[in-house]
Amino acid sequence: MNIEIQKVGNTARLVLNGRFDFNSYQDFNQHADQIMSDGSIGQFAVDFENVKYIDSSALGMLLLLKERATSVSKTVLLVNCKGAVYQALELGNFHRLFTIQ
Amino acid sequence: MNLLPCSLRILVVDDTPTNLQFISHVIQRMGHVPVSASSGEQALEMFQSDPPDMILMDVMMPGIGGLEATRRIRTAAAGRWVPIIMVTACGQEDEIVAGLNAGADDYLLKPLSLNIFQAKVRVFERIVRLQREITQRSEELDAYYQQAEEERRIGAWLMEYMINRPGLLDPEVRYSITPAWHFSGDLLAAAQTPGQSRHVMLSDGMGHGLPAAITSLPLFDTFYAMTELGYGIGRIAEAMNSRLHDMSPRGRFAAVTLASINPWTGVIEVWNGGNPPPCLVGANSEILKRWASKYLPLGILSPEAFCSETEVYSYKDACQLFLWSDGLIEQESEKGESFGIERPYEFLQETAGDGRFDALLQAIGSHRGDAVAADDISLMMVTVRQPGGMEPAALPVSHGESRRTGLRMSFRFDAHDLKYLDVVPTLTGLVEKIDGLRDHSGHIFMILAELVGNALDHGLLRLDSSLKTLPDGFSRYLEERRQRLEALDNGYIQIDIEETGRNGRDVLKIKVLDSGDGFDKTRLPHRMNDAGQLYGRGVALVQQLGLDMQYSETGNEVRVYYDVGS
Repeated sequence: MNIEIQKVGNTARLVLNGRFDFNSYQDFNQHADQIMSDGSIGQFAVDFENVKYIDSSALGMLLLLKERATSVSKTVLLVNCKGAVYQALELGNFHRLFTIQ
Repeated sequence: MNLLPCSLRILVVDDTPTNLQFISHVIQRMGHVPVSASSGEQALEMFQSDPPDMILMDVMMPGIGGLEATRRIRTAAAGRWVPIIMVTACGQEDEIVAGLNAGADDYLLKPLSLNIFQAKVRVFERIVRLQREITQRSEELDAYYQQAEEERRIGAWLMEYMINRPGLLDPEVRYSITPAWHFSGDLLAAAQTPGQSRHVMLSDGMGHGLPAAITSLPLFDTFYAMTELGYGIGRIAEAMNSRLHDMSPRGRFAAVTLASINPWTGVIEVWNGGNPPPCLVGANSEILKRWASKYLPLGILSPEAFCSETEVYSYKDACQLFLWSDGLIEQESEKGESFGIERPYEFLQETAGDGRFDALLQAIGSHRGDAVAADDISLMMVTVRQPGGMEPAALPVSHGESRRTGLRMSFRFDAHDLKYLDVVPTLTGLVEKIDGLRDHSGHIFMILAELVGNALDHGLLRLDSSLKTLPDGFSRYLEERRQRLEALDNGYIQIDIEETGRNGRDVLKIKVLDSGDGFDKTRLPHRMNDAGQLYGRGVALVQQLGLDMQYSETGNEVRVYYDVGS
């Protein structure tokens, strides 16, 4: 998976490309780390526009991201969720934990 | 990477003693250790007894000479690489090519230039060092591999252990697990409560392989232990969530579906957190019910935020319950097309009766073709018989020995206890610990479940059983029950268990008294005889066990005499 960071205002958009699964662990966390300590950023927007597949390990990474973000008073948004990604989030009832757009 | 200068053992092969002496001296000054050989044969011998890190080989020597010595050393080294620099006379291009072909890595021209000589030794020193690193890493990698294999073996054993439980050997339960990895992170379990309700569980641990299996382990223990005591699946889900939440690392979770089938009342209860909706298929291949995932997977929410409410369905006739993990709907074909969330239901409706399980397995198999399984795939089918048509488990055979002990137990639970405590499993757990009663705990559980259930529902909560006969009545009944229980702020249920003699037999006198108004006793025979109707079944069940049951005049106290031996 390939990850790109776009900063707009106080939002950092993590644009994911490809399969978001257990292989993405290191890459995803490294990118998240970059923003975690950035004081000018108040919100993460994880962008699934170009993600076709997501597995349960990826859902775990999202949970960890949210927990870490909350501890530094940042919020997490999941955007452009559709198809299999939306289905996986819905099945897990993740809308109860995340704002999903 | 460790790239500090290191001292190399360098074998110098030359038949001229002055050359040997000169080169050895230079090597020593560079901080390395020279060893010398004066012929190709000697070099080969020394290489075999104690291989050096690098070899400087003169080409023109008596005996086998430098080229042949190089060839033989290369053969003897089999798999190991030692740099060989040949030393050749100036201008002999053929000799250089022949040397490189024989296996030399580089060449130096005679007469030796000290600067070039030192530079080349340094080049190979770097290469040797890199090679050592690579060898070390490869050894480490190999050790990791061995360790991973060992873990895989333990994991596979654990999963075997968990799967091979008596509950899953039940002929009414069929299942299949296709692991994506060496072994599955999906886990299936089945067991019966003392009251003969069947509980099944499908757990899909996050990730794959050992970590996923380990996430499922505590769930598995909890499932079997609590089912054995007769706890409902809502309570079991709640306990599992607490355990997982407390004991697994953050971000780890398991999608879990729990289902309970009560063959007496004809009620299926489901708690689904994160799995594809299980479904009930009727005799005419119709989908009677789907239980959507209503909750987050287990291990995410804190115990305070957890909701254990189940969704119920009353069935009238024989049917089949199907559960599967998301690996089944996400399985991609060779063209990358996923099986789809709706496809399983379509297949189940297209196939009749007993063929459904195999048909669905086959369908997923041919969809998959030669594509890899990205996730574990599990499928489970439970055959559900027409309700009420079963016999209670046979009474245990008395050992003929009197065990009259004068045992007496008395409990009183007030409104608060009744809201938060599962009275019947708690008491059953106690009965199980009493020698001589252990064999009877299943029946005692059923009796207590009926009597305490009646005392609470009809005595304290004043619910009307006839509500259950209306369409969708059972759900309405349970909803009403939930509301009234929440609002209950006084009243109590008292339970007395006493071992005594009656007509020359050892009996357990079980008395349940509630603080409610009681009911009209004249209605009782009707309720009992009308066992075919839903609301009569509970009491009929106790009668089926062949027990003497007596209601008090006011109807708020009931006694059952249960035979525990002569």
